[in-house]
Amino acid sequence: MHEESLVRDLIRQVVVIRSEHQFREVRKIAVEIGPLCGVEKLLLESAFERIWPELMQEREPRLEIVEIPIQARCLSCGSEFEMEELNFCCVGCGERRVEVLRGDCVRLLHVDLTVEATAASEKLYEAELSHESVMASTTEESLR
Amino acid sequence: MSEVRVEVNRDVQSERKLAAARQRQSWLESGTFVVNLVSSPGAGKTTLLQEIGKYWSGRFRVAVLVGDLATDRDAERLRPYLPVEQLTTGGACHLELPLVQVGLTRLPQEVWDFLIIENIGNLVCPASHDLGEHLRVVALSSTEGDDKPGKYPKMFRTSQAMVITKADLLPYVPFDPASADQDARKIQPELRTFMTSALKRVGIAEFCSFLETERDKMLEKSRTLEPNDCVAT
Repeated sequence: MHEESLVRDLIRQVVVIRSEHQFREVRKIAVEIGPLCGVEKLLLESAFERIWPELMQEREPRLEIVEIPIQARCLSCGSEFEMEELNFCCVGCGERRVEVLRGDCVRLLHVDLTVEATAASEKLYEAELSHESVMASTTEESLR
Repeated sequence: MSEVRVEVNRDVQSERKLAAARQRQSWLESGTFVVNLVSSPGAGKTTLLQEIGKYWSGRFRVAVLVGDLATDRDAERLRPYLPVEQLTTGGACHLELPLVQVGLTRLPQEVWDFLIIENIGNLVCPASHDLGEHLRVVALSSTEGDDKPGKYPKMFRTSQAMVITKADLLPYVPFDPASADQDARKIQPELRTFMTSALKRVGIAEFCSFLETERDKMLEKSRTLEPNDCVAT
């Protein structure tokens, strides 16, 4: 049932992104999920279909859900690897203490938006967007 | 009309996690050690807390925030032993930080030695919600399967300690504590395991002593940290 809470967080982020720029319509939202994020793809999809019309006036965008394996880093030898099953063990040295890098949260990858703009203002958007990606990764770092 | 792709690459819970990290820091600064106690329904969280309340009585300032879908029955059970506030979620399957923060303001004081948050009985959803705790403890009762850790990997992965409850029933049930411990360690190799029986008052002192040590470590950390360091685990 916490899919609902995650979908509300997702839509909140999308709304902020849209309002930061003069975009018209959200066409597609791409998210990434993994074995340790505690959600099921089908349940996430149905929660999204239910909650989007509750919160938003505009028509529902396409939700693309990418499923990935767990990506981890060994805390002993530092090697990075993908985990086939939930076996927390370094493939290189056998160390069991590993840090999970990806696959433990619902990650908003990108949002496709339509925009009415001239070629000049599009260039401006691109500049702003790359700046925003830098800001986002900085926030991520501070959370680790 | 043209289409633009905005690259985001961010955890959808990033704001919540930041809020939880701030709350954790604020508790650390006030010396309040916070435990998030999780389990499936009926594992014995409330009974365990009753015994902890008795054990620490007069030695530490301890308060409990107890989450339930409905009723304040758990709070009523704990009230004779500890200051307690009930958090009623109205059917929601897990606690979230804002509700905890409201509960915090209803307690008779702000600063405690230990604040224990008894989460909703559920091994799935509470795993995804950081409440700003310093320690997550998962209770697993001997009347459940000893194969549960592997079935609920996120909960056991995000916990630092496991308390096996109702250990007095072990002679009568097929639960193997060693198997449960082994299964949990595949997912979380640093997990500390404790055996308790709240009814027979077994293992309570060992578990409480572990919590006291963890609190001491936190206090040590708060003395060495820069004031604006953010603690996020």
